[in-house]
Amino acid sequence: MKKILYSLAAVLLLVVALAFTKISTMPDGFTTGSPEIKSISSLAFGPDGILFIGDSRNASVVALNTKDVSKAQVKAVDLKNVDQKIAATLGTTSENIVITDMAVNPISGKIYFSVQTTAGDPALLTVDGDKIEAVPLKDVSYSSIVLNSAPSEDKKDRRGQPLRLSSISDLTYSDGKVMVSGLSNEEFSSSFRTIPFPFGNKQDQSSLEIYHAAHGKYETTSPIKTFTTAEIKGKKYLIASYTCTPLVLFPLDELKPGMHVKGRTVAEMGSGNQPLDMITMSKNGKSYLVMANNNRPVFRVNFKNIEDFQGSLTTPVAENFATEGVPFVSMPLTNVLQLDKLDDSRMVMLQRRADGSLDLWSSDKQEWLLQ
Amino acid sequence: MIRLRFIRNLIFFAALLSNCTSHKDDRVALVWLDNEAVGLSVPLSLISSVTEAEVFNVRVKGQQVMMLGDIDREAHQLIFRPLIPLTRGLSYEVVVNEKVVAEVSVPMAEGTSDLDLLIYPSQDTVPENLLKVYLRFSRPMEQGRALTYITLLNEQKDTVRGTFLDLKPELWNDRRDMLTVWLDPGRIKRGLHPNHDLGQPLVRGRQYSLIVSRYWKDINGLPLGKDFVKSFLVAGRDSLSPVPSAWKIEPPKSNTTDNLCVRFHEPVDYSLLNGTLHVYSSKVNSRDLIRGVWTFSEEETVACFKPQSEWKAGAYMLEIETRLEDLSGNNLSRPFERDMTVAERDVRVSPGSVALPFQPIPSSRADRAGRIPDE
Repeated sequence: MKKILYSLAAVLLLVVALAFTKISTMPDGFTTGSPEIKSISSLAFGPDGILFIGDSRNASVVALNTKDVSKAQVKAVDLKNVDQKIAATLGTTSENIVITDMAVNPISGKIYFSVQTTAGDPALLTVDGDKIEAVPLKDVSYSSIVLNSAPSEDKKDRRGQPLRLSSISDLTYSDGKVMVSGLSNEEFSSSFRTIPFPFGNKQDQSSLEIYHAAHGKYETTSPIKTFTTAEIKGKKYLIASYTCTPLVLFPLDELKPGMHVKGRTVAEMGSGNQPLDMITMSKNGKSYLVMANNNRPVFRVNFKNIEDFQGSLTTPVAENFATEGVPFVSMPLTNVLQLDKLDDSRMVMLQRRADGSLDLWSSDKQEWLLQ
Repeated sequence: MIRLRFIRNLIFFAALLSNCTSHKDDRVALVWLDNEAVGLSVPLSLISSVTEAEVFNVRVKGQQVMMLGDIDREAHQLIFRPLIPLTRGLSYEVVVNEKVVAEVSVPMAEGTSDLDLLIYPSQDTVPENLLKVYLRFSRPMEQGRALTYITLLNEQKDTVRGTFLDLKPELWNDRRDMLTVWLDPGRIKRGLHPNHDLGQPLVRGRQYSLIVSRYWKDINGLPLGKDFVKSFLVAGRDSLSPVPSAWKIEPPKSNTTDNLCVRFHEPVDYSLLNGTLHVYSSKVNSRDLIRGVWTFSEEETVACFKPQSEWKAGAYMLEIETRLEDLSGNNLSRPFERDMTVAERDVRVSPGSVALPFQPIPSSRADRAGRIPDE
């Protein structure tokens, strides 16, 4: 009898253990359903195949459990006229869509695209080889957080209300936190939020005003266009590029809610130019910041040079269209509209070619780009 | 085929089934919702077997690529819903077993264009460091290629390039009928490369024309139909924050719903005006928000508030959020750029809000007597 009881208890324990194992695979705060997504302006991958979707119109970030976690041999990509192919799968033509962002799932190597029609309808797709598929958004596991919750009267910090966000300019995930930079369609100001992930019931979000000094004389505020994080000499930094082109470093541990943080301008990336995307690549023991621009080639900055550059740009501008500060290399890649890391050694990019075609390709045969 | 459908479609699913216009005959019909063709209704009579229903596809005419979408089976038809609404002016083919069994075209939007556009700031003189232009349309517009429809001409009618910031995503309001366009801040900010290399986007003393193209379409595909032109002269730089204590308040009379007006003595940001001004009754330990409607006039230099209820005798205050900016991005608590070599001015407004007290003017009995017949 005792034996039977022991056996039953063992089975019960096993069932309970299995049940808890199952529960623990569901990330905190996730629910099954169909997230209401009005727009997709930014994408970024987090851990375990979680895709963060920046929805500007809803002023929210949706964390989608893609369940795309099968490790695969990441294939080379070379897809011509990808905008036309995407448009055709959506049932329209390329002039009616805009590819708003691209993100590579670091586990599967699958490339995710967000698309917005000119009428404002969003779509989320994957490209795997030459196959374009829709990412399911119905009956999926997801979690979301609203960025724009209106603060109550008594919650104003000393710098006033958080910026009213109208557009998410960039989004990234690092060390358990989702970071979001925003633009307002009213105030010309900088909004940067750090949100712990998994999203909790309590919103521990920061609203930061970031200023940067221009040549040591004028202190101005400006919205961040794109950013990434990196470790420099053992310290974590936010590397942000502004709408007015400077490249600015902020120690991550100094970004606190409501704080006025002054960044260190380490480079200016040239006139008439807009930074589009930034990634970190490593090769042969060297780490690079690789940056796509709308009116300049892709830049490559050696992190060693950022480490060595201890100053801030305080000297007058020397010559027209010159750039200064940390030295960087212009790569022979122009009109790169989207850029991401395909794997440790390869980049994938969406490039407008000279003949007008918009091509998606990976840097498989161009290893010299990072040498 | 991966089948995906957005929640919006789910929400309206029931409405769709009851409202959709579909033919009872054996033709393929468009399924409409909110003036958009959201799907295709394909009669089962076009498809001879269940197996064929599983290889039923839709594509844009002339394309080989099949569209992504959902297929729902109903009593006599299959409903194909693409990921995004069908595009006006395009034709679609229904393909079964690699054969085109039907073709349907989505008509262009009907009607004439009555689109209207207001361009802010409405003054015909702007500072050389003008930061933003707002385009307020009468209907939601197509987005994503705004700068291809906006041109700046100089006095010689030459196009001035590189003036506006090509932002992606574009800064539309939620209703998608107002676009914010920034003049390149790198060129406005002194000391930065773009400012040094290319100079200010607008040159003092020069005349410009901002042209919004007639070809810009609303979300239904109807174009503006005519060019909208705003001509303006460029004045000097404005580097100073607006000073609320210098504004003139024109108090209303008590026991009336007359307007409270405030004169800024300079134009302020059109969009920020909507939402940064609040009126409170001022009591010793509390305050109550007064409900009413704000209107803005005289080229965004005057704001007037009409309350829902009559003003009472006593203390009120006009609260202004310090994020209110002038045309050059100087808000009430910080200028667009601060010259760190110059000492700050003595009176600096803390970020948050500024309160300007006022009291309604007591109404005399005679005033009230004169007002009664009008009530």
